[in-house]
Amino acid sequence: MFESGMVRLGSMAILACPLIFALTATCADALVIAYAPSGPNGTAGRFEARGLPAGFPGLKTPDKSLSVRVEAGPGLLGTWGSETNGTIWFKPRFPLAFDIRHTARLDLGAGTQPLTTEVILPRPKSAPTTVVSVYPSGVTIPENTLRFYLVFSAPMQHGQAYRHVRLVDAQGKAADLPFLELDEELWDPTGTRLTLLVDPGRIKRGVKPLEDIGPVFESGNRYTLEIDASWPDIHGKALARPYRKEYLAKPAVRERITPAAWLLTPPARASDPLVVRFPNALDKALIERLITVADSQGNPIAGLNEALPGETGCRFRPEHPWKPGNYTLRIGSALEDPAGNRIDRLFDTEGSARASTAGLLTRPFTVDKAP
Amino acid sequence: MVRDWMRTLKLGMAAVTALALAASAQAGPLLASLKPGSVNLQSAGPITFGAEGVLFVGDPKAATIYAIGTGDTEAGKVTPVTVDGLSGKLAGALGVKAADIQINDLAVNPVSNRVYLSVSRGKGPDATPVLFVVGATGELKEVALSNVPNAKAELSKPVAAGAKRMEAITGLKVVKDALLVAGLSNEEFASTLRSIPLPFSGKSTSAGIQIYHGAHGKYETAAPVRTFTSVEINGKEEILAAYTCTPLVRIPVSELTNGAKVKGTTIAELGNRNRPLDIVVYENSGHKYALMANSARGVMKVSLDNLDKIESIVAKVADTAGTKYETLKELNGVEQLAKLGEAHAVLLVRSKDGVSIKTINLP
Repeated sequence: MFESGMVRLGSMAILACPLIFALTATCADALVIAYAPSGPNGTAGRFEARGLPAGFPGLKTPDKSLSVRVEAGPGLLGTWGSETNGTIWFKPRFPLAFDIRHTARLDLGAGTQPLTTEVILPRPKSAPTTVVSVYPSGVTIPENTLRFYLVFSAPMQHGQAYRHVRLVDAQGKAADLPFLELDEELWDPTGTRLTLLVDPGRIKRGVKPLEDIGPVFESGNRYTLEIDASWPDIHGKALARPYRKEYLAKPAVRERITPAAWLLTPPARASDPLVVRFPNALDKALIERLITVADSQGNPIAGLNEALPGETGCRFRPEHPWKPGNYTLRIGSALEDPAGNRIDRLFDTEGSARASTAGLLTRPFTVDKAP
Repeated sequence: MVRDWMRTLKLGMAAVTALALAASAQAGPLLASLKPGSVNLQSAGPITFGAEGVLFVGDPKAATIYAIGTGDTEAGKVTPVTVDGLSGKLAGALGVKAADIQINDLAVNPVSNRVYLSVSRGKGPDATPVLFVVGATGELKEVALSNVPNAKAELSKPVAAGAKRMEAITGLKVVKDALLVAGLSNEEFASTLRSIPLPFSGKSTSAGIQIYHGAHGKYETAAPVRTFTSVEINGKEEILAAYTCTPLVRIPVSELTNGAKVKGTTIAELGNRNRPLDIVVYENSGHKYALMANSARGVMKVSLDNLDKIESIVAKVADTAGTKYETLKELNGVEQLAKLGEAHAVLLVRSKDGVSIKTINLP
């Protein structure tokens, strides 16, 4: 009988018809079972058994005759069909996964060995993924820092972040559970940016974790955020290299954000950016999402707002050159610093004190006629 | 001739769509509000059931909650459910390695007593969401999402291209006539608990409820709710919420209106180095309890008797404090809980042999 072996894309098993269908009336072609690739990387194809004689029962009930399995399990989900030319097919519900053995099997009835073929779609080659940056990007952080962002060059696998990130002190000792380990890891929609929250219980004053275990960061001490290279990217491949970023912890920041203290440098020329400087570092993502510019009528100005190095400012570049006139820098009320302090309240506040944001969420500026 | 795998499985369940559409003729307000169509999930997070076999599915990637008429509306007996090697079985059906399967939640349809699973095929941003129902003998059947009665509630404006903000949905529960949704943003540290009136009106619900907890009286912080359920105390519906830093807190449901600022009453401190994972409430021999799964402190049975008489915890306590609880030593690796009938719970359990579904008698 036919021996199936591990074969690659486009594989097929062929059997001379008369061996099997001694009882069938006609048998013009050899029986073939194969994967017919289609779609991106050939993953959206279907499995076909061709050359079945007219009387073959599987033509009426293809789901009883043709199945595809990976590892253990009940067989792949999908749909079956048959065609008048003696073909039955199985279309998997999902695109074929890479680097996994699919065994297609055609059952030929009691007493006859089934016909099988194996398909493995090799994963297309891709460049190794790297850590692009970590925020806060500065060299110092307040000891009540709440949030880090890890940015990768390509999408990463979810569900194992906390196994691959460590916070190590100057003596090389890793901190015990420094991060809030959420099952729902906080990725962006592209899977390239992870938000890592420091356990808020170790920042908030008066709660048990802080009182019993102590803070994660202490002012004056050095820490290294380490990302090990074994963290798999979306293709299951390790990072190109490990990543380390050193921080010096400074005293806690417990002040509200005060946009009135920001230094605005309006553009001198129509093509210059607006540059804003803050007294303290703010949150990278929130700077870029919540600080916007509007014209004198209140219409938003299209453009790109980028945080400056260290997140101590931002640079707004309009899509079209500035026209002379009055503008407003707008600040979303949800803006935070890396410790979670906002314009209207501190991250942890005594009592229920909460300030009004009236008049605090805008800063006017003027673009003069170019000299 | 195309035969659908799903339709060929004998589960004692009639064709989902036909049944659901037929039922809508005399359906209650929730089911009657749903319109036939396809549900295109971008992701599948927490799931929970409402009345009439309506399944709510949190889709964090789309920032949307879907209500889906499963058609699973025939009363069913409480039968203990056991599925060993669950990841392997799901992987086999979905054509991936077991390591590429993520089981996001488990829920029981209180009408049929069938177990439903929210699953991701893959572990990256392109993971495909799939919902399954567990059959009488432990077989897994995909829940139909095309041409099913459905409605949706958007949690925020549709996500703009290139936007990086996303909100994880950390909890979902029907309480009285509303669906409560707890979320946590990947940018600002705002705790957003939303109360979406049922049936869905089609409007987006961006206004959240700000939840605070007073830590030992002095400081107050916005606090993300990790998991929650509802419980009746002296005839009043209350939320029992576990925060990420493990205080257990009660909040009257009547205070949960969008835009409100709500402060919970801390009734227990459940210890350090621990994350609450899931919680259910039940009665046994005339006493009320909560069963709570934790990351580091196992499954706790928490007494809810005289909850209204427990003073809010305002002083520093040695380790844990407040209402009484015991840790059930025989239960390890429990990640999800759901009540099955009044006397049982279905558990999603992770061990070195993989993930399985088990049923226990409520202690």
